[in-house]
Amino acid sequence: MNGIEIYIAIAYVLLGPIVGGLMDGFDRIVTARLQGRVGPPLLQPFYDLRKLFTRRLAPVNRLQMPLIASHLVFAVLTGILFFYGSDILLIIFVLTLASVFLVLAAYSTGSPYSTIGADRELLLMTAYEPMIIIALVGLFGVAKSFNFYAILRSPMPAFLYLPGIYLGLVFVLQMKLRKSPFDISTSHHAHQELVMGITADMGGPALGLVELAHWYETVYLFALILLFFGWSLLTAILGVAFTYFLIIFLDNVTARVKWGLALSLSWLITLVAGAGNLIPFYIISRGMP
Amino acid sequence: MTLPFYLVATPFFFGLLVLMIRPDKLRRYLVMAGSASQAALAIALAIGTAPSLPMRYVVTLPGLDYLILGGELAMAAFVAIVSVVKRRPITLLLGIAQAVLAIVGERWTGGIEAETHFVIDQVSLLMVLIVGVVGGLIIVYAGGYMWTYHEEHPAIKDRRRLFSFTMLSFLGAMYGLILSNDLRLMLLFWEATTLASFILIGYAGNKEADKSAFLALNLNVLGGIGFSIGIMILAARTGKVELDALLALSYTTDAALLAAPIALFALAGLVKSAQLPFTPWLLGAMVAPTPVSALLHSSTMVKAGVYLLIRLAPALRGTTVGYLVSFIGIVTFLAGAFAAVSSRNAKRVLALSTVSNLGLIAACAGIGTYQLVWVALFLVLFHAVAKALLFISVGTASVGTGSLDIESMSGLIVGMPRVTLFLIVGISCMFVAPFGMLVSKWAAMEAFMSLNSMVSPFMIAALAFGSATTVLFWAKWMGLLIRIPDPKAPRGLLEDKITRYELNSETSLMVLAIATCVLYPLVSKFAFEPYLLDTYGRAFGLDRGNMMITVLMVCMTVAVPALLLFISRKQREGLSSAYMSGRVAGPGLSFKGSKGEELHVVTRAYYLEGVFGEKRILSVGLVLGALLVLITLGTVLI
Repeated sequence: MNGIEIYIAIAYVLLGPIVGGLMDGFDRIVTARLQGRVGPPLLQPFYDLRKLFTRRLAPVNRLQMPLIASHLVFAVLTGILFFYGSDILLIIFVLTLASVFLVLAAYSTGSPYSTIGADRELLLMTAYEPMIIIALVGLFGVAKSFNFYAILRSPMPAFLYLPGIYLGLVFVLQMKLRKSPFDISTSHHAHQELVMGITADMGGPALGLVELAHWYETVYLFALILLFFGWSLLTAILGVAFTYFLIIFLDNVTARVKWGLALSLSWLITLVAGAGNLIPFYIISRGMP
Repeated sequence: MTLPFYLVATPFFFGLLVLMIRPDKLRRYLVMAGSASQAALAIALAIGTAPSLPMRYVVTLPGLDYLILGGELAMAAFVAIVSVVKRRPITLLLGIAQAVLAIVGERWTGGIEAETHFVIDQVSLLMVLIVGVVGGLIIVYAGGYMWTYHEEHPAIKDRRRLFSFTMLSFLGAMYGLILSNDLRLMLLFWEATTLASFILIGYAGNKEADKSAFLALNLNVLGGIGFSIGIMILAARTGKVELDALLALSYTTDAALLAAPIALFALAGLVKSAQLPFTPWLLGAMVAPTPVSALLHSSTMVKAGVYLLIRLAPALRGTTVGYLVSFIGIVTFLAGAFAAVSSRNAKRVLALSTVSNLGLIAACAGIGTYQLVWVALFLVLFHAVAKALLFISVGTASVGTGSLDIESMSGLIVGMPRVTLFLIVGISCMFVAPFGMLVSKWAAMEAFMSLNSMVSPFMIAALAFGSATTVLFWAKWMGLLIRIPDPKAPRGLLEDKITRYELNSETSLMVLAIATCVLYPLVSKFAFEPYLLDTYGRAFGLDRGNMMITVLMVCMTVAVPALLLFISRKQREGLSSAYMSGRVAGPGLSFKGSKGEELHVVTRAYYLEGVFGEKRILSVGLVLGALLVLITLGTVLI
């Protein structure tokens, strides 16, 4: 990759929301089919977003909008650094920064629904972060690099070495992608979880920015999955597509859990599937030059 | 011999002066002058010696060993007297043991001439600067805070002269400890910091303060006893009494020969840095006035403990004792982080977070590779600045709100906007990338990864869980601070009691906190990398590109929200009220009940007692820590 990273990073900024939005639209169709409905058109998420931006801006306080905008800025920045080929472990910590801005925006309102949503989002962050870190450490073990492209070009697909870590990562991505059974801080369905929790007090363009940030995030979260299958183009496409359907499937067949179960389950999975994969992998790979 | 001597002596000199002067106003000026001059000397020492590091100094004072003996006996006598007055038999026994060991030690090692008494290198300069600048700013803060403290607590006897004397002397003792290469001298200053912390923790003079002060005294004197036995064993086995000689020997001699003294020094360091099972003394110490906590947690006392561990790191590397120290550290890291979630008291949260971060430093120093020592040094630096800022801001906030409960800080941004800014900067520095502590944690992960050892996957997993948990309690607290129940309420009403001493020192520390996050690549390049090259023959720094990214990110993290806030500053109209299920009653989060009556909403933070109960976690940690300490002692004594 000689200098092409910068173009990929620029392409991410320009096209990221389109890819993320399309994935969202496709998700809705698949979900509808799984439930025996026809579902909305593929471009429905874009129509929704356009509509959000036609609404009047009505923040609850003066802190809220700057915090939401910062959330978007740092979510995009995370992706730029990711595709630019920076250290992905560092980037994951920056991802936390983006999420913290969203949580603070919700807390700043002081409203009960936002507060509960923000509380739960923080719990989810605590629940998923160890697994993501272990996943990145595992990927480093395979490729001996934290560069996105270097891991992508590793001689064998990382999935073969890290099946447990892959499963654990899919498990916690349900949280990051706001999918059932872990959509406890906010969900895609306004009527369901405590008036949308963390986004309860965000309306119109504010909600639009959050949605946009989410699309950006979706793209690099799946790029993370891509790293497990970066062997040939075929494995990459199959691997990511399979994971995508797996996540939608799980979303539809699971019932939402309480926060305690979300935390203990994901930490248990992190220990069993994540650390349980990392430690033997580490022992075996130490024997190899 | 000149500059280091003045550096150690200046704080003591001003301390004695302050002790003798009665008029309040004059004394206050003297305290400020003392604080400023010792900080200036620290900076002068750094600038003056920087081109020719490491510098070695020999003290040519006849009867130096008798001077040391005299100092130690005086301190032991002080311990014995207070223990008799306050009826503490255990302390009395410890004091007698301390005195006996001082005399035996003098007989045993007094004949050995040290080749160098003081050494200044990059690491001691870093510590000198932390003590001088951060410690100095805390003393400035205390000048304002103690005024209000006594107004608010009329029952507490005003002993501010003793207070200022001890605070200043504490810095002098720290300088001595940091610069000493002769372990006998280091022990003298080591015990002096123990006494200083004892006096300061017990300042309030009530039952609770006494209890905490004696707990701290007992444990730290015990650690000091281990230290002095360590010196004797070292002298008996090798005929040396210097730290650099010990390290040099550790490269060449049989590890078993040095294991016992190293283990005893490390244990003394673990006691002082409040690692499990010795943590309770630091948690008890929060009864002291806020400036004391700030001093103990940031630039003195606990930092002296990890400083010794970092000094020992080359000798700990690859040894059983080193691994055990590291395990104690990582257990403390996890226990501290978990326990902090369920704590409601602001100072306790800060204390547990200190314990946790010091645990990580101990874990790095115990493994002792050059990468991990780099990490440990940065953790010391970032933690000192951020924790000092947090403690003193919490002190100011508690004067405004009248409570240390973090719930009472809910909506502090309205009542105390400036203090909230200080707290937000401090908290950010503690838990979120791209700020210092998180960058160090990230570097720790990379360092553990490049470590060819079985412990690294376990350490990485522990780091992952621990650092994820820190997000939980810091972000929750930050969320409480910035709650705005009523955006139209008047702002800054609680800030009228803040003195300018407090404001100045908080502002300076805030600037310093951000500056360290921006300038740390320079610190790495000009201080830590040369030190590692000298000590290990290999330099380590993070990848330059990554460092630049973190620095740029710090700038962005400060600038982006600031800019956006600036843009939206005029937005007073067009605000909607928070969602109240469609029945908003008025400003300030109220809604209409079923009979149309106005009901107020109160939101609180979570503490998750059931999952992260502090008592349970700490008691498990105490047992594990005690077990590891016993194993450590067992391996070297058997």
